[in-house]
Amino acid sequence: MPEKDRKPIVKTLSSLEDTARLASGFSRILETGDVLLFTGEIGTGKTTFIQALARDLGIRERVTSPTFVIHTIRDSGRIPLSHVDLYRLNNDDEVECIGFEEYYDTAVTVIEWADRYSRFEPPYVELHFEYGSREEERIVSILPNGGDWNERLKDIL
Amino acid sequence: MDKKRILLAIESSCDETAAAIVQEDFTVISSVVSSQIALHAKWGGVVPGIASKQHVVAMNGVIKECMEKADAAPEDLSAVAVTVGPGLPGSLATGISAAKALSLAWSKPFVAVNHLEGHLFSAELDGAKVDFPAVYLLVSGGHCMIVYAAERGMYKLLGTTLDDSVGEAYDKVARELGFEYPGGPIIDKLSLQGKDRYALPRPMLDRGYDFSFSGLKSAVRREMDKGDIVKEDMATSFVVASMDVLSTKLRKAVREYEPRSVIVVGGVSKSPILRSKLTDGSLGKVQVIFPSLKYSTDNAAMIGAAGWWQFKTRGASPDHVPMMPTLSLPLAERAADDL
Repeated sequence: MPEKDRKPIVKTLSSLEDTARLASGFSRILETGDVLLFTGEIGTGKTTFIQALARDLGIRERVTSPTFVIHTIRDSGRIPLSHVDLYRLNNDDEVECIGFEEYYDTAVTVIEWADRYSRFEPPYVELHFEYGSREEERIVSILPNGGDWNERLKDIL
Repeated sequence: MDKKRILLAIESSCDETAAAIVQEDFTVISSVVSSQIALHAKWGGVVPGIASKQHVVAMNGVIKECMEKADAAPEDLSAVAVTVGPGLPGSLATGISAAKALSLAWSKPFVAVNHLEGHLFSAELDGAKVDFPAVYLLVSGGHCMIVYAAERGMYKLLGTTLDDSVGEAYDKVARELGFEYPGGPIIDKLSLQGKDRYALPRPMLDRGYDFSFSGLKSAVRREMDKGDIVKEDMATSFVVASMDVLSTKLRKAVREYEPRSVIVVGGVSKSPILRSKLTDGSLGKVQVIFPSLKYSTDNAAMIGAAGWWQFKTRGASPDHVPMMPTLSLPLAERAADDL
């Protein structure tokens, strides 16, 4: 589907509980091979969402922001979680040096600051986070791209 | 005269390709870190700023330079030590492969070292002496933890960050203020010039030993959304808030565990405000030890020191040790099962 014809599903998250509930929905439908791309400014809740997701996937270790190490794998849950953060990377070539795509087939891959890389290929789901009007409030725009994501998201959104 | 034994240590867990020759008494004979030398001049071509490709390019040159500086030949070495985790998989693999290959080619014992434990040894390079029991604070871009050790190597994790490390908060605040990555050192510099006049939170101040720096980062952002700010003052307010949290938790640990030494390591230990807060007598009579500035950030000398201790107490590691990207600190109650 051409870019302009795709409409994001926009949701208002008024609290951390709302974020956790949305993450919990995702955790129920996620399968090995799925890729979620996260964008949005500092402090809008990308890592918070992923922490909630990890908990619901049964991951026991504490999931923290991998900005410095760029890539971590957590495999104590129902599905391994491959957690990538492109914040520190400057261009596509640097991103391609990391090697996180090697884990696409064996894990759920979640990528923060995904707009640092221009060559992601569908299928994937984009989740864009923004500040809302109140301190706790966040707006998330969810945009499925390719595969059967439209169908799968219907059950949880 | 007895010649002190030496080993070769290699570190490539994140950004830095590093090698060092370290004596068994933790004296550093040579230490080479890739970012501190002119890669372009030395090996030609463009070197990617980050990750595994850079390690592949730089590894042999860094090892050669550290061997030459130390005037060491392979037969002089007692072992080859290397970081096996935690870190970025592709980056770790380069250093581990190099170390395993050299250990095989030179018939030298192979020693697998935990990067976090390496940081804990960094304050003891070149002569500082830690008396146990000790409390460690490891604060860097990738790590943020407070650790108690009744004796050397017997670690108890008191607390860690729930979200961002303090070094990461530094870099993100720097970016918000308009500085390029890595902005941590710039924030430290600005913080000496400004006034602490923005009311920023001290997250989790009274909640045990865990940290949270994500909220502090967002609070800076909210202050900035309110209107014009003075960058120096924001840097000062942010650093003072962060260091308040770190020093408060350390004071609590000193009261509870009564250590003989407090050791503050990792890149954030360079912070002048943190250093002055911890050496103003507020921790009591305990000795407070910081590593030399050059050993605060990632380097191989600290891997050499941790490697020596491990080699002497537990012997060589098995050849089949894998890379361990999510390795955590070996804790006392299960130390025997690790490495």
